[in-house]
Amino acid sequence: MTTTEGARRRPWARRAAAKAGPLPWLEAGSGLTDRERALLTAVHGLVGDDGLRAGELGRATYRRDASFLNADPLGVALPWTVEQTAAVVRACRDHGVPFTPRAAGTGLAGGATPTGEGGVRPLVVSVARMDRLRELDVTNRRAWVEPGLVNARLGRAAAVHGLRFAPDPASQIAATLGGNVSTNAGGIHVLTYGVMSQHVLAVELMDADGVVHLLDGTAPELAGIDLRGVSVGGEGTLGIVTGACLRLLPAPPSVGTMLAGFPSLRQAAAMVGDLVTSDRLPDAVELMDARAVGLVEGYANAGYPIDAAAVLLIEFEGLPHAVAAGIDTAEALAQANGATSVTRAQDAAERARIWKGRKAVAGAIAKRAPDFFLQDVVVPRSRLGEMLDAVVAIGERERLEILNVVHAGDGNLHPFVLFDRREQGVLDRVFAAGHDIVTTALDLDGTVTGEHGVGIEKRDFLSQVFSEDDLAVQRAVREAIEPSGLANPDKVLPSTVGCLEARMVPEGAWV
Amino acid sequence: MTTPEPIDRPTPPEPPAVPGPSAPPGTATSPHTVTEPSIFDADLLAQCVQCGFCLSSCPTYEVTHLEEHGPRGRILAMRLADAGDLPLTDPDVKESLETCVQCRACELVCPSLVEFGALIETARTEIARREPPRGLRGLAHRVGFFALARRSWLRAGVAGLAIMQLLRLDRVLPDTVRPARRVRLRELRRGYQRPRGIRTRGPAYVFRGCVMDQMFRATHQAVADVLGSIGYDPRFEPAPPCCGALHTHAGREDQARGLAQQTIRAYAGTEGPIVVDSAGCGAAMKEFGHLLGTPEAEAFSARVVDLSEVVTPAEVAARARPIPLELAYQAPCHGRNVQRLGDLPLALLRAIPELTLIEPDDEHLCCGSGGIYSIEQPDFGNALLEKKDASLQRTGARGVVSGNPGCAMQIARAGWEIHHPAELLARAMRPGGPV
Ligand SMILES: Cc1cc2nc3c(=O)[nH]c(=O)nc-3n(C[C@H](O)[C@H](O)[C@H](O)COP(=O)(O)OP(=O)(O)OC[C@H]3O[C@@H](n4cnc5c(N)ncnc54)[C@H](O)[C@@H]3O)c2cc1C
Ligand code: SF4
Ligand code: SF4
Repeated sequence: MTTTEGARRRPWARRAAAKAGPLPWLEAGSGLTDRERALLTAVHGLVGDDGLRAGELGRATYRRDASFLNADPLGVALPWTVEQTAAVVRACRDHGVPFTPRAAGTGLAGGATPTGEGGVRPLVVSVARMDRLRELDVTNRRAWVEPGLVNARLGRAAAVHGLRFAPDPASQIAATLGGNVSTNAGGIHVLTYGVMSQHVLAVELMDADGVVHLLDGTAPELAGIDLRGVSVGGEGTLGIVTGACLRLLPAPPSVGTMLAGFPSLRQAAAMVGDLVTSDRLPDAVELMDARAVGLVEGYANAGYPIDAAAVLLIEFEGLPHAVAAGIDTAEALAQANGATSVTRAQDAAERARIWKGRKAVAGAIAKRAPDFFLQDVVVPRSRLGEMLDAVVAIGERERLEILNVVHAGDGNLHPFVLFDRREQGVLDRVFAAGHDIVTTALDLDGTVTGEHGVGIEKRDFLSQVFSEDDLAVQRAVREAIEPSGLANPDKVLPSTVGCLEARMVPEGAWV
Repeated sequence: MTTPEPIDRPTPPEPPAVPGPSAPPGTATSPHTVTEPSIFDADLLAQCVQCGFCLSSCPTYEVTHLEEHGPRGRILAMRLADAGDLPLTDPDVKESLETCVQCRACELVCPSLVEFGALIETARTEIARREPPRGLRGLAHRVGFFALARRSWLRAGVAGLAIMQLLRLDRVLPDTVRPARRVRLRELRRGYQRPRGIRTRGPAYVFRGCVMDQMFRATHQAVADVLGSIGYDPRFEPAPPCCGALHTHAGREDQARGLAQQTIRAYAGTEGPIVVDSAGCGAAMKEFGHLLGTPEAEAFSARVVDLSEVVTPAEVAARARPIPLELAYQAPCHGRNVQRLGDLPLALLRAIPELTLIEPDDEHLCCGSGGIYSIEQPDFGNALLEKKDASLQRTGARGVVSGNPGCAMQIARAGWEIHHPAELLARAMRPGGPV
């Protein structure tokens, strides 16, 4: 059994966080309503100088997550403990002020953007300080974690015992497990290992009364209604995840990686279909289109075929002979689908080089344009080719450079829309392109998000995914679990009262 | 520097998404809105996409978990200042930027290639220009930074410290400013010796610097011995007084530029590697090209190397005697994040037989030294030292290897015995041994 130290509740850290002195924002004339002032005063009494920010800079830094959607919070509370969190949440309930749970703020859907309800600004409740690995149970292959523990840290702690935590979102270096639970995060290895939900054994969920409910437990089989399943992907609308028990898996004994270039997007897409329906299911299938490859090669020199219209990066994990057989199958299928080049990694260095290109996408983009908008949609694998063509057409129409990077195995597209926010009016075009990509995916029987969540960004699309009846049931479930409606209002489920005036096109420093 | 597009500013931020009962302070109409010429390179500032990937690598964020103590929040603070929404001297903005250790860990992990070092240096220089440190702190800065650049002053100061330590008078100093390293007068008087041996390569220059030249002479000697044992002709001259790294950190960019120029001039007409055994100085000297933007500076920076860049593990293995020790290895931030030395220094030491090196499990979190940071920001400095101490203890080792004098002095405050990599290498390598 292992535990990590996590954020220390040591005096130095508390002093570093506390910028003591008068609280100017509480004074009259600061524009606060009586209710807001009363709540901030109460929260300040609960968490002290080191646990509350409500000044201009403090609020500004919590206006948004990694999306472009932003709003001004009332303040930010940063409890060190579950008890403090409960007290803060109760104070919100008592004053009728909504709260927005937040962790690392790497979300891309505006889930942690503090939009209020009924004109009341919410209090951001950051769980980042609760970041301990409570328990690593090697024998039973599971870990109890606090919500603020960074995904990659669990991975490192598990690796010491030959174990791994499978969900590996690209943001795992900073994103937290509480955030991963709340967005039902995915990653490169979703194809065989599934998304976050498959790896959560139990969730501790705090409701708006500050009461913590243990949903499910560590027993291998659960009885009754799967509330744990309901709570995963709640994006903070069901309350605050204050702990979770996660499944760990044995680290694979061997890995095989292959890179194949194709003369057309459609051929690459066909290859993906053949591969996934073959008797050797790969663990990762990543597709990059010619623009992405061209940009990455110019930057990282990973040896990708720049004359190809699309490249596929295919990986198998498991026992050596199974991995070898998988790669053989993949190579044969690639040839059958007209691949113009096939590279099999012979050793760890070559594998790293193949991955280097995929991992250098952000850096390559940075060299090209200062900003990107990362979209996330899913289409059935059989429609992948059509979808990829449509994305290219949308880019041409909006005069925007769009790179297709795809978790191809499960039809999850991540088009990167490149732009420079300093260009007049560009954000309108970016959002128009983003919108069209989603509607195209819907037209192709796909859905609005693969792994980044709904948040605000995709909220109003849900009416196109679900029937009114479905949505009513979802609303009823949410109300049953979180009747106060104070937990992250206005997110995920489309509002019944009309469109939320989200700041879809922010300006100035807020972009 | 380019002028930003009009779309960016001076447009003040709009009201929040959901109409509130009252305009929140500082958003609708900011009381501070001023239009000033931008001090930042607009392209550098625009590069951050606010993804947050850097958060977990930032030591100060690890202490408080506040966005404003993390790279993303600091960049936003700079953007707000740049847009005129908040002045750079706003107490919160200033605090956010001045609590940065400048460890540059964020730069190493940033997928979008944000040059955080350049940004924070610009911001700190501007803050120091607008609100220079006052009172006792101001005096200490003026005298201190002046003395660093004058060898005789520094020497007198360090001799004074040695005497104070001898008489145990240093106990009156508060814990955060009291150097943990014992200085001996004998050490101060000790001269450098050019090692004898067969010269198969050209000259290599040991950079002596300011504090190192007074307090860490044995380290410089060790570097020279190692260089000598692989055939270089080590030189201790020229000896410019100071590289200006600490000045850059403190936002004293003019002084830093002057010292950089002085250093470059001193080496004019020489050829061969300039070997730097302080990771912080090496990092600063490798960035002279960036700081001064002249071809001479670029050429100079290209000559600057860490010991691990001129000596190979094979050369060590061929000559080394065993050192049966178990030590924790701490990679100084400026070697890792700025010089990007990667595993080179560790690989070099691992070539020494029987020397076991254990890396702490703290993901290379900064120890909180940061030049004079530990003195200026004791809450952060101590919190980070506490974390570093804990992770070093978890290694089970009794001593620590560190290639930066600042880190060495900081970690020594927690009671650790510190070894410089060069000293271990010198101990292990026989001069003129089998090749
Ligand atoms: C460049 C980039 C790449 C990305 N790649 C991927 C990827 O490959 N796969 C993927 O799945 N995601 C990816 N993401 C999205 C993001 O990292 C994930 O959604 C992640 O799970 C968010 O975690 P976080 O800790 O940052 O949460 P936050 O962004 O802080 O919050 C996300 C949502 O969860 C809620 N929340 C957070 N913590 C809690 C809690 N303890 N209790 C209740 N609600 C909570 C918030 O209210 C919000 O709605 C990427 C993001 C970026 C910027
Ligand atoms: S500095 Fe880099 S890693 Fe950090 S938020 Fe900005 S773009 Fe992301
Ligand atoms: S330089 Fe270091 S302390 Fe400063 S923001 Fe970057 S990671 Fe944090």
